[in-house]
Amino acid sequence: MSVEPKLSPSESRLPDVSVDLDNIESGTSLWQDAWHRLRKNHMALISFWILVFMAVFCFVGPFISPYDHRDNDLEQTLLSPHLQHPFGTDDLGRDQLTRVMVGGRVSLGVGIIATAVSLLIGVTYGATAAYVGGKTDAAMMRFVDVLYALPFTIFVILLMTLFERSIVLLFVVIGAVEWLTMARIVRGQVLSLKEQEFVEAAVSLGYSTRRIILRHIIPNVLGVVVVYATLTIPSVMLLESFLSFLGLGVQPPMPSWGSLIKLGADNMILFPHLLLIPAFFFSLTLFSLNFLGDGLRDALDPKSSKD
Amino acid sequence: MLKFILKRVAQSIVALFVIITITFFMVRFAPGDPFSAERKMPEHIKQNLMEHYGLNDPLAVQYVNYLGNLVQGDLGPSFTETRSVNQILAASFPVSLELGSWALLIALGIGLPVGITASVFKNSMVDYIPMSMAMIGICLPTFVLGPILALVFGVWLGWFNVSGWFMPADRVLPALTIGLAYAAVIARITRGGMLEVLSQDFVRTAKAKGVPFPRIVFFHTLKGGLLPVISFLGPALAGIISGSFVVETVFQIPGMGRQFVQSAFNRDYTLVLGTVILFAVLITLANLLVDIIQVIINPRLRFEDS
Repeated sequence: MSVEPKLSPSESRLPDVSVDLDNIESGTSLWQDAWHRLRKNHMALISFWILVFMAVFCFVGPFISPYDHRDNDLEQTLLSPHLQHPFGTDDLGRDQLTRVMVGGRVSLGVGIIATAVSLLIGVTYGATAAYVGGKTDAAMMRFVDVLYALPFTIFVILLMTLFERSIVLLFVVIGAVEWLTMARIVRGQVLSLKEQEFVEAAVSLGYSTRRIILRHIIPNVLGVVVVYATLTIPSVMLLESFLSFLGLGVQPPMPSWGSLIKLGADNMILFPHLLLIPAFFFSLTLFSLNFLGDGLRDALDPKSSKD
Repeated sequence: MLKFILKRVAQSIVALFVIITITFFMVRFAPGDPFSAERKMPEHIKQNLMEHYGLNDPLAVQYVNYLGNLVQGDLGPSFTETRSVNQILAASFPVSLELGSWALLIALGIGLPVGITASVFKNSMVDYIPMSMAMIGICLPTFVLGPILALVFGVWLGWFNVSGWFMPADRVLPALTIGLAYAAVIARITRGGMLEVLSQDFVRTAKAKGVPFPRIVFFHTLKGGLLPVISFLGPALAGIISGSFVVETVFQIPGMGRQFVQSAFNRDYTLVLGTVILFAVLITLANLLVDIIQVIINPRLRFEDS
């Protein structure tokens, strides 16, 4: 009888299995998964590239343009589009292309900064409420509920008309409105994560609270935060432009897409391009942000997608 | 049930009180006064005016006086017009109410059928095309849609007046401007709500029993599927009001929205306060009604508070 036992078929396959395991370990993280899903979403990708174009157009464009957005030329007012002024000129003879670029810079800039502010407040507030829990949590969220019930547009208009209009007040006002939703979302997310098995597993493995928060809670909340940040930017831009349209937002000579649309609406009978061009840029940006946000939501949080 | 309603009514009154108080002090603490925007007036005349309107009294006294009058339904005199605030609001409120009603009618009239059709024929052309258009409707703000509708149908096609509020046809463009955006939201919410109900077991049972499909849609699922729409109506009313700020400005409509923005510019304290109070009452009332209707329709909610 031979002493050497024959390798059974199952044992001979062992190396393969270990290769598979390697693949799984180094394999798809949450973000890689999300990236794969996002790449299949053509609308989201197109939106992403449109936004890249918009960013370059608005933030780099004004430096290339030979005109300044404040330079009026009273001999060249309200020109139709032509070679020297591809988008024409406005009622003070300012180059409309440059004004659209600078207006976009203001609108996008306000959108991004105010979103960052509301993100900071909302995430801190929501995460604290959820983590501390108990009576504190109940009191903190009750406060959010009360604020939610206030007719905010009315207060925003009041604040912007009654007080000295400045871009700082604009940030404060918009930030005050937009952090509420973020706080609710983050709180809900942290609450449900706290109860999940993998957190329990981490606790039973004896990991420190710090490690659990940093390695397990935050990365899982981050996805949702990114999604809602992308969706908050358009709603912030909407609010800013709404105020600027009413003459309560950014003050002249600084343009924003909202105030450009207002000027266009006032002159649309004779000079429709003054309305249509800024309206096009503004709407395209809003679409792209919303589609990208939806795409990111489907990619990062497949469970929450609507159907 | 009665306990729930009483509780909600009490909450609403507290909320209203908070809104009135915040607004009162916000308006008073703002720099400037109603008489600073006008032509320079001699100091003694200004003092007389301030005295006449009680603006020299301590703030607490003014506040108590205001609340006292408010309880009796008196919103005080306007600082910039000869009419009282009650008279001004009595003139502008019906206009906004009419505009809002048309807008809501358009929103529901388009949104509900489109949403229901899309959910019943899920992943077909009658789902994809209207839902993509709804996405556009949601993204397009009123201050873009309004001027563009006025440009296309008012200036280029000449079907409607560009602005004004005189003939019945003048209602069309402003109501569409506000209504279309909400039609889009309602279509999406309806579709979502219906899809959720349509995928439930009792629908499968009904199908297995041989109930005709239209009957399943209209008798079995519609009530449950429309619950999210009803809860959206509260926020929708607030949205329609803020839409009216822009739309009434664009189309030169003499309603409450435009008048509110103007009165805030003029620092007409009592008019601002009166308008905010009326808005707040409307929104609170709508939310209250929506909550009560929801509990009546959806018995599951009755157990949440207890």
